[in-house]
Amino acid sequence: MIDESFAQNLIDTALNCGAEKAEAFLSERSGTEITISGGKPESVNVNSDQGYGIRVLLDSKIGFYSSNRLDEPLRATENIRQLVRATAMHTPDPFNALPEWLGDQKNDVQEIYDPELARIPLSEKINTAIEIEKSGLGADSRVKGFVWVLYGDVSETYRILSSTGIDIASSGTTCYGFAYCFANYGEAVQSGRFVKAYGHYHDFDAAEIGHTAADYAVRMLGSKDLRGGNMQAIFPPEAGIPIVQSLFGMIEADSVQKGKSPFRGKIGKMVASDVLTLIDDGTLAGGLGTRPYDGEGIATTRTMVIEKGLLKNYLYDTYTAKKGKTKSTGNASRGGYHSKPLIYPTNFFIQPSKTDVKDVIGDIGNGILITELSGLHAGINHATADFSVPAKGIVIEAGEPAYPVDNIAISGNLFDFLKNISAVGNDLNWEPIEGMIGAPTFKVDNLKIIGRG
Amino acid sequence: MIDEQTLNKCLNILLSAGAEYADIFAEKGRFYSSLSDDRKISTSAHEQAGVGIRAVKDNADYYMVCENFNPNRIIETTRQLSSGLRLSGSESSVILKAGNNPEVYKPIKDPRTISLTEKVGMLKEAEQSAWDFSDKIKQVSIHYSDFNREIQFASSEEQEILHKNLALIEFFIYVYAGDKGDERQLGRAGKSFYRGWEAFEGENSPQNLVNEACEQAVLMLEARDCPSGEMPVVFAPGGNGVLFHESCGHGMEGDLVQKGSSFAGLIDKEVCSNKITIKDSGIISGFPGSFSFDDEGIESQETTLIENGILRSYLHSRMTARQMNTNPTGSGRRQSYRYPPVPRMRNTYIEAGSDDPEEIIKSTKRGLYAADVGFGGQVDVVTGRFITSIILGYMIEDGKLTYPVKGATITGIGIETLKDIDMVGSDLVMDPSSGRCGKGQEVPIGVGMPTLRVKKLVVGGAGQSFEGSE
Repeated sequence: MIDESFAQNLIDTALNCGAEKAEAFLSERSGTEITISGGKPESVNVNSDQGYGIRVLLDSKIGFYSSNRLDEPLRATENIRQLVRATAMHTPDPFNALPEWLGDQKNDVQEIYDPELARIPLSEKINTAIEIEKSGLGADSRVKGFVWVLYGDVSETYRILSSTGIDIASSGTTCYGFAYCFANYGEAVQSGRFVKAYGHYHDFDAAEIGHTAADYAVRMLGSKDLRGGNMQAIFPPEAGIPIVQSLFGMIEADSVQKGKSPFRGKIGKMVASDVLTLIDDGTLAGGLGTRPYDGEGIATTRTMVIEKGLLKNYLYDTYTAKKGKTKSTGNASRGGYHSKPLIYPTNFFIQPSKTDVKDVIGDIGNGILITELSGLHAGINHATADFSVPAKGIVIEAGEPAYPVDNIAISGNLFDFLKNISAVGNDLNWEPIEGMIGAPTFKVDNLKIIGRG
Repeated sequence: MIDEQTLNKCLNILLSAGAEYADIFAEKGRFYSSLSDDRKISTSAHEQAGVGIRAVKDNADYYMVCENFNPNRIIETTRQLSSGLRLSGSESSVILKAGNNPEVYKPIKDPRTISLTEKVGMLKEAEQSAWDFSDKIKQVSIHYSDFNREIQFASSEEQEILHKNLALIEFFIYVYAGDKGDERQLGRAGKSFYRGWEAFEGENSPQNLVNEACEQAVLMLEARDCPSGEMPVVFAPGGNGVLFHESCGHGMEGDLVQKGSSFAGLIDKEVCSNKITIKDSGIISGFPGSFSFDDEGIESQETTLIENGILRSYLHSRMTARQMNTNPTGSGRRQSYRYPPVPRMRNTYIEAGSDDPEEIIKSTKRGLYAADVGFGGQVDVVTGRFITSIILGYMIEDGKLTYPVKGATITGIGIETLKDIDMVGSDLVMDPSSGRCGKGQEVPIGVGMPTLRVKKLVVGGAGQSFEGSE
């Protein structure tokens, strides 16, 4: 790790140059990315980086500078002098602040760290990546090939030191896999994608990734057109997760405060059906988005965003919390030493119920299982919450999957959609998308399906 | 940056270890950006430097990064990489020589010589003029950035040491207009150039870009809901080329062709109307996809992808060219030293055709005119299936542009959309406004196209069902 005196020097230099407060974020990261094609490695990238980002506060202004030029300490001094000078030109904003260490915010939550990861030889990781493709191709003879097969891992240690008393460190590891395959049967071609993250290398399940991508492609073969209309719809985790992700962008405080979110002014109001509870929990035991402190050194929390349909909280970092006259929810995160902290999910999910998925689907009678949504962010109007999103699905007749349908779209207003959620299952699943996003299967009544049949 | 002896040594270590090809890409970069958002100005700066060491063996890239310019550390990293190549080769003795370093564009007002005060002043002035444009402007966000990346490159193939400097400037504005209710409409404009501040003079002045964005946002307040259904869509020239970049261009990148893109196996075959010629150029002076040589040392060039409807070439890096037994097209690009190069587009454009642009609209009885297709869409780069929202559109009725429409999305498949083009205007407009293209790595790109008509596209909108075009 970058040594502590280096960080302390950065802070001292900033204070000497005229900053009122200063914060240094140091990170050291190593990672591997392996892609496979035709049973052989296509690209093997072993990388590591270390660097620092420094934030200075003066006259209610915050400036940021980052660098990986650790071999030139003199350069750092000169650049911090420039940083303070540039920051003086910013517009003052009374809500700018560097968080203070409050003493009672110590958090004993454990971030997932796999000490074994560093000892796994590259050749074994390459074989694991090859296994994803192999198991996918073996899953079904209609799977014709893989477009992308990726194994990746990252190990990161960061430390935050500030003149405001913050001194925290955190280390975490993640392994992730991605597969994207094609299946055909006759003329029809369908694709399937699956991504999953694991905390420990030994939990990495290459077969799960390969099989699931294969299954997603194969289950859509033989797709027909659908006439459309209003019907009951089931959203399994793979279709619900993009919706939860899109909700995050509307309930993070920055978009609310800038007037860009349809959830603005709705705290204390019913925004969804009472079966829906939406939580961000940075302390979730075993969660891959779990960490003791966020990217500003604030202890992470469990925040009820929507509780039984009622909008309770937005998600905040230090800046938006001060502006909203509340406390940070510990949702600041950095993409690396070169990024300023921004509001991100930790473990952001729909709370599962105890209802078995079969029972969620079972009483639907006739309806549709949505299997894929595309371009959700282009399809939702954030001002009005109206959406129209291309989708794929499987028609359900008498409670049983009947046939797949392609070329459909779901359409309506997001609030009606949330209010029409009538059941939530017990099968919570996660995807790593700038934080961890989770959803169990849920059912939506009276959803408008646009078809071309 | 790295001395000749160290470069020689590193390449020899890799070749001796059995690499079929090796290269070293060293970079020292400085990045500056300033933002005016929600009436507040802030700036940030970033420095990044490092060396990417690459060996190719059995059609695979083996890549490692060293973020230290100490020769011993670079050699040590190279040895680590070579031990991953498993088989050993025979003793190699590359001796590098200085290469020829053409400049694509020499900036007149180098952003490094522009003071912080001036950069912040430009932003303040632009912001003020946006607020002054109309009291309907409710939110303004302006982003300026520049970078300077000094690059040194050496490969075992040409055995030359090359240098280039990539210096980009970018200016983007997003404004939201509102009237009485909660509704907000977006207007946007922006440009990026491998040029100095002289690029901001004349038609690309910040003032002009501010006006363009504000006019668009205010106009959209009058817009009605776009009808939905299948209809002819006429695309305005210029920046809309991004749609074809996304939905067709990626399918012609060598690596995606090998993964079975919709353009695979179609070389010298007819893929669309003979009115269509598509090129990808790395030599348009000052444009964001232009450079003197690509990120693996191949001299920059222009590639004809589709010529009068016939697919002529794909875009190749050294690797995909080798695998497909053809020549690289100077399309190997990397975001930075942290990544091995992959085939990427540069400035992709559809050539001017012979139709009078006004006639294209006149001959359309009913349809949609897409003035500004957003790039906030999603595309499957292999199949070319896309969905994107249209930021600014108009309905065409009886051959005339009538009222503006909002909330339109278009969906389709790239190669099918190309086949459905039935008129191509004579008014090619090149546009350096498309920002960065992301394909695992982000690189600056440009686009261009003339006015053209796609005879049918699926348009989604909240308005009534579309009533046929005839």
